[in-house]
Amino acid sequence: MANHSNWAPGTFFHLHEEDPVEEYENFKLGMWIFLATEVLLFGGLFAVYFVMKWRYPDLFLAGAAQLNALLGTGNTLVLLCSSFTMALAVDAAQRGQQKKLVWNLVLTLAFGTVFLIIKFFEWKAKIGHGWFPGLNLDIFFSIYFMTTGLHLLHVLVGMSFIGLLLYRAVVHKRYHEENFGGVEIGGLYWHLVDVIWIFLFPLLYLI
Amino acid sequence: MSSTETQEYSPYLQPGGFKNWFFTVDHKRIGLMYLYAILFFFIIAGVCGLIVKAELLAPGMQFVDYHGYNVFFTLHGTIMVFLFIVPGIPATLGNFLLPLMIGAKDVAFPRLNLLSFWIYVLGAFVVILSLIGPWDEAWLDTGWTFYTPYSIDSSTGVIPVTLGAFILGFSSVLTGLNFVVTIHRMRAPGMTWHRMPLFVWSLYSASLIQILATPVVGITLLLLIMERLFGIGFFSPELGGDPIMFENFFWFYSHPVVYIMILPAMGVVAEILPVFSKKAIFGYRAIAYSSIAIALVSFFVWGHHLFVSGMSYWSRWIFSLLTFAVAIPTAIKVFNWIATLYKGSVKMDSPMLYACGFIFLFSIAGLTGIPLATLATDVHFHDTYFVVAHFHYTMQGGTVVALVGGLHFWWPKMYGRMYNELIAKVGFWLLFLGFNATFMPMFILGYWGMPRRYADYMAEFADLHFASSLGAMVNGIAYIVILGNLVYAAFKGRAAGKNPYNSLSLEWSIPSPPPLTNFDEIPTVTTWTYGYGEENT
Amino acid sequence: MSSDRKMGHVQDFKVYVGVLLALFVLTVVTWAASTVHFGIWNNVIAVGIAAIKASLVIYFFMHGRYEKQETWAFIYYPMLLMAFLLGGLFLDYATGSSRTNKENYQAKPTSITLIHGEDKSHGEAAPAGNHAAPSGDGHTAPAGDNAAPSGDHAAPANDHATPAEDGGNH
Repeated sequence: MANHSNWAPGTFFHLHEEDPVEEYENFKLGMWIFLATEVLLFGGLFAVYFVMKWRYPDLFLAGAAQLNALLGTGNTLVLLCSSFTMALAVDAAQRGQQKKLVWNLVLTLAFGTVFLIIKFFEWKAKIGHGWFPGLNLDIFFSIYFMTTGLHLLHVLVGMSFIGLLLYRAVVHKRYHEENFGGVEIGGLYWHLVDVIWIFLFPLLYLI
Repeated sequence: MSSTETQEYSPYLQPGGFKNWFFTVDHKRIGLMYLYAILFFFIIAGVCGLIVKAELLAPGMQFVDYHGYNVFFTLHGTIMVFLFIVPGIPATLGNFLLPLMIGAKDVAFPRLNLLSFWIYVLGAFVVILSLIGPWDEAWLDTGWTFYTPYSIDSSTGVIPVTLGAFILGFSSVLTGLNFVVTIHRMRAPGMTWHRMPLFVWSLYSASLIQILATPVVGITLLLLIMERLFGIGFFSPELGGDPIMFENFFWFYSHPVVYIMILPAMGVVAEILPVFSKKAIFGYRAIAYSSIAIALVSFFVWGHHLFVSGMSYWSRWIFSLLTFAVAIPTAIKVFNWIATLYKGSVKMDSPMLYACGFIFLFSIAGLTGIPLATLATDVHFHDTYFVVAHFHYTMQGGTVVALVGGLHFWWPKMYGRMYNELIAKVGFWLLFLGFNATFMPMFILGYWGMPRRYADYMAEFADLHFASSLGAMVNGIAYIVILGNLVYAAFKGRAAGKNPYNSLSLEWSIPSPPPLTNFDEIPTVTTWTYGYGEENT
Repeated sequence: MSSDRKMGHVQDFKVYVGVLLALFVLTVVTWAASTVHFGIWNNVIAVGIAAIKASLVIYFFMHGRYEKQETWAFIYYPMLLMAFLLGGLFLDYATGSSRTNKENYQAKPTSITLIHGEDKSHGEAAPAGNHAAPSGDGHTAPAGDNAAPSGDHAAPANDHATPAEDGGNH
């Protein structure tokens, strides 16, 4: 660990210590509350979706038909798998199983990358038709790009977080039975990303 | 690694230096930095307001043109709301006092607290960026509410301001999150929920709103930015969108946000009154639960900002009914505060003047909200000066008065120095006089039909506008006196002891200014904060 | 094993696998249900199954089953608030507000319907290769209101737009 003792007390690298169990529970509660804010962020977007869908039902049906439901389903399954491997990673950290932890984090990132690739191809096709913000875009695709775009941003953030966990697990060997909170809250965030997609998928692709 | 070596007392104000303050994780220092920042923006926004009032001194345009007038009331509103009053009491007094009041060494996530402050600075910077460019083209003129479709079509700096507000939202959310976890999990042993000071209850309620409401305005502003950049068509009628949907989403946040502004202010009042009446607060549980009730019900009333937008009949009366409902917990608080004073040994020092002033001014604010909640009268009052007067009574007569009163009350704790009591009292009366002179005429102006946000007006309104603008000047002078007094005291005031007011709250049991780690030993609490000779109810 | 832990609870591997399989099955069910037409109930079924899947993820993957009441409050309240936001919006829109009467609205002309005819054969460069034309058609044809037949550039809300023709936005 870097030597930060030349910083005065009360500054960034010189906090007071907290009991580990208390700290763990604090971080968990804090992350759940943060997830609540993310739910409300996407909730606002879903509200826009429902209002516009109610107003232009035919446009939304036509738009959903333009989306590739197979790719969408595939992406859903990919994210579900990534959630599974993330949950296993948390489990491994709880049990102190280093190799399992690292492998599951790697797999989670791999599934995340597959999601990104599929998304890339989907978007490329849409853009190829000239459907992109700034070009001639109707309301369905505006919502499509807004929601999947914001979701994509969260996937990237989640993957960065998991990348950080991986780095810390491999280089610093930081996570074990007494200290796995970081992996758990990273897992919570990633599961939220999955849950949002669970709702996005039927709303955009299927109905 | 932890600084348990506090054998000798060293106040949190030392050591100074940029690195020690800009990278601090100490909640007290963060609270002070927020205080300096919001007071800075208060002054800027106040000057914008004074420019507006100066223009309104007489009919006709004397200082600015129509566009310029729009710019200045927009800047006044935007900076006041997003950069001053929403961070307001929670970020300043809240940050400073919360851990002290519950007996903790710091908040739950000190580094997140610092991040919140940095994000605030970033957001403020982005908002200020909107001022780069020729003022008649770049400076925002949409009003702080950014209503579509004008905010989409306007050629002015909508994007920097809304983006700045979006960033500031993160600061607000993270502060709220920090406070909620702190209150849930870091109370000292024996500090049960029902022994907590009422200021903490009010911070909790305000934090709940911050967490739940802010993301919705975040997405709304994001959609507005997307619409300006890409024409995506959610809010533009010609693209099939709905501008009223923007209003709905905007007010879904912006109504609860006014309760973020007022709940901590009420908490401050609930702290000051018992100390200066030497009597326990009356109806502790009623006040505590009504804070939570206000926080929850505040989410259901946003429609009252849209009564004249063409809403359906059902929507209108339901929102009206709910708006009446949200007034009830507030009224409960007012009655409890007054009952606290009854048969108390009241000492009218300056913090007490502010607290009592708050009760009076906020009661006017609340009562004038009723004609606005009533459908039939709102049709006449909507978008008139009646509304302007109402919300200034809540925000300035309410929140600012409570903030200033709280600053006076806790100034000796923050700096270990006492302010000049006589000048403080003079400042209060100047403020009270100036504020009422500014805004009381506006009720009448609104009743007579003077619309808001109008740069010019008919001759029949001239006398009241003139009186109001003169009052605004007195209002401004009052702040110079008040802030000057406080700033002088911070440097040169006479030393205040640990507990100059003989309060029983935990923050007064440690030295003034407090040491970095607050308590040498976390206290074990056995009684509530208001036990001035009485049992816990 | 979890009783002597100071923090966290471990679940058996079987739990994770079981939940994953359940989620897979529910995903397929969602897709299948969307190909049949229950009218407005399609929306309810889709969101309902999604809610079940989300609940499984929250309860098992996110260890929600072990979380305290105060944490669950932060799971419920956002949903409640979203329901209220939607409720408030639809209370206005759907109960006779003159402003939001659907007939007054016309969506921006879309390019979707125009190329719908030639759309079936284009490759979406999908790795899966075979794209969803069959299910896509399954969607729109029975819905009947699809603007493709009308051919002209008017908005899909063609039932309502007929009298106004291309006069456009009101």
